[in-house]
Amino acid sequence: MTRDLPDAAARRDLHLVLGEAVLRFELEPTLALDQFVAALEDGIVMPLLRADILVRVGELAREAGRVELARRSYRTFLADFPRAPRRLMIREALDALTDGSA
Amino acid sequence: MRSIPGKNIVPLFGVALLAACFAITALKVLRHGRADVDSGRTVIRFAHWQLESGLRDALDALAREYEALHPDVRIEQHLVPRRTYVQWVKTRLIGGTATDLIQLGSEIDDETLTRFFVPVSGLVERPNPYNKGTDLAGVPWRDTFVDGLMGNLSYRPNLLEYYGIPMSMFTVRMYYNRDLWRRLFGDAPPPATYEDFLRVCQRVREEAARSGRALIPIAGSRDNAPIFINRLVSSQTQRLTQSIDLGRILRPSSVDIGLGYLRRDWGAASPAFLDGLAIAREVGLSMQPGYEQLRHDDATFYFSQGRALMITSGSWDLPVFRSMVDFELGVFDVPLPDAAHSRYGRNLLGSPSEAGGGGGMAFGITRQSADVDRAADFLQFLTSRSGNATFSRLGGWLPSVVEVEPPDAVKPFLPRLEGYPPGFDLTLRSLGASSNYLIQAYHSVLVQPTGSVEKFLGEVEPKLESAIREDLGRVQRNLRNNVSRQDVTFTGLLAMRRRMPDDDRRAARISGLTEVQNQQEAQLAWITHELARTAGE
Repeated sequence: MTRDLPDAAARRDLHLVLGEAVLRFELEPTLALDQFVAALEDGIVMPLLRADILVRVGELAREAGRVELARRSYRTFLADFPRAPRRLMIREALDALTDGSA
Repeated sequence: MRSIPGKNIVPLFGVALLAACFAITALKVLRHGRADVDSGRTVIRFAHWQLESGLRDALDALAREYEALHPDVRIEQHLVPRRTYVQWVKTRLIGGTATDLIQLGSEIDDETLTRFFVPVSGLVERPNPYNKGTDLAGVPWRDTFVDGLMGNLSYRPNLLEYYGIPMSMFTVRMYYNRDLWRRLFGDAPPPATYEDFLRVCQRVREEAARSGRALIPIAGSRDNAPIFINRLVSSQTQRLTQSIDLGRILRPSSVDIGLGYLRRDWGAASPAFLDGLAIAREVGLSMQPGYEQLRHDDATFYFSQGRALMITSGSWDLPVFRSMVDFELGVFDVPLPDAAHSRYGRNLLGSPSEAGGGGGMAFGITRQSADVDRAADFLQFLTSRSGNATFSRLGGWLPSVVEVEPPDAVKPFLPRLEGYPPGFDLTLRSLGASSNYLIQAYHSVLVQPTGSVEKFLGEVEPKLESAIREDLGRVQRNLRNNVSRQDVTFTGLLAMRRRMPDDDRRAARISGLTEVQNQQEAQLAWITHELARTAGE
């Protein structure tokens, strides 16, 4: 359905709402992961929303065992949000992934 | 009967006086709209309640510096006492006579913000032009602030918009009377652990009992006690908050906390919440009985008179205390329980970060401003690296901008940037007025010697769900109003886009606005759904 939307902003917003709905209604989390990844690809404008989605993708990918995606998302968060209060938790999550795969 | 000479003139004099007052008032009101231009100069007015002379002088110096840079602008500083500030702001906003910039306080709720203030979300993503020539030149304005504009006075999560720009960072520390400390503890350093801190309080109580002297460990009041107590409570809800995080963002919002309560993800009987209440009682008992009826000035009086060893307050009070007390002033960071603590350790993630919530003296731009761009430009000047350095140096407050060297005296207040997000506190992370009022109303039952955690819960628990529902209902209304208000702007932008399809800047604005609108509508739908779903439970 989202692929048929020609407008990137509309596609992004639909991905975000679908992903949010999956999480809020406690459905299969990997469904949400794909929606959030697609939303990031379409371009999220609000920085704090983008920060939240990067954290979400990291967390969901880690839970799903998609280690490389989780790492990439955590690293982008750390690079793009130098003053975020969640940095320590994200760094620890990233370290755990690195240690776990070493 | 003879008439008294001049008797007939008295009523006339009264009428004339009334007419004169009316004429002056009418003239002032009529002139107000035009007063923004003063002999060809644009006038920008800013209002705040910080009457401390250092701050006033610092802002005045910055205003004159700005005028020198922009000779076509005049800056006016309006000082309003804190006690009347809320009424002053409301009257001005409703009367349409507000200043261009207004200091935002916790009493400015989402509804007031959306109705009377201009969101600055777009502006904070662009560099501050007054940082030209520094390493902050290309950095988005948002990232030039120590707290990244994450504080509640800057970013409103329920509205998904930025409104306030902070001049300072506020952190909370314990001030203490060093002279009295030496008499009681010799050369011992300030407490390093929570247990040590409780022992200090106990020792003061023993000394008071032994000597018969009116001496208390901590001077409390309804203004400064909560900021201390909430720090301790939010340490106890760190793990609990993470468990409520359906959205997996590691920092659920106040709406998530409120909905989590309705969903029974947490409740008054949750061990972490009970521990939060227990720790609140523990420290509340170290303050003077009945402190919750007193105001900040009363607590300051206790402390400055040497009747209390310590007082909790923020970095904002340093210049005040330094000018008031005739003893040596010390400052330390209150140690929170650590992970090894036998009771409280289980609830902790770790030492909380002060990075995301401490922006202080934040100004918002009012919709009534005749020149919003100029008001924003002045704000950018105030919070440039050099402007903020002047403010910190002359005002004696912490800077809000990164890598600005603060004066030595405020260094103990520098925020701890490394750490974990705090949990929610007794305001439920400022969910709204109803739950906050309920908790405040029964605060004394929690912290007075005759009270207890059980008695507090006995009063609060039966009413908490209804208070949370009221607050969430208010969030619903604010979201609905905000969406309708933005719809008008949105429609206008879309119409202009149709006429100028190649205008990329406008396209970006439409994209951003669409995102905010859709997020707000999604949040509104979720709150509405959850309120309805949990209504019969």
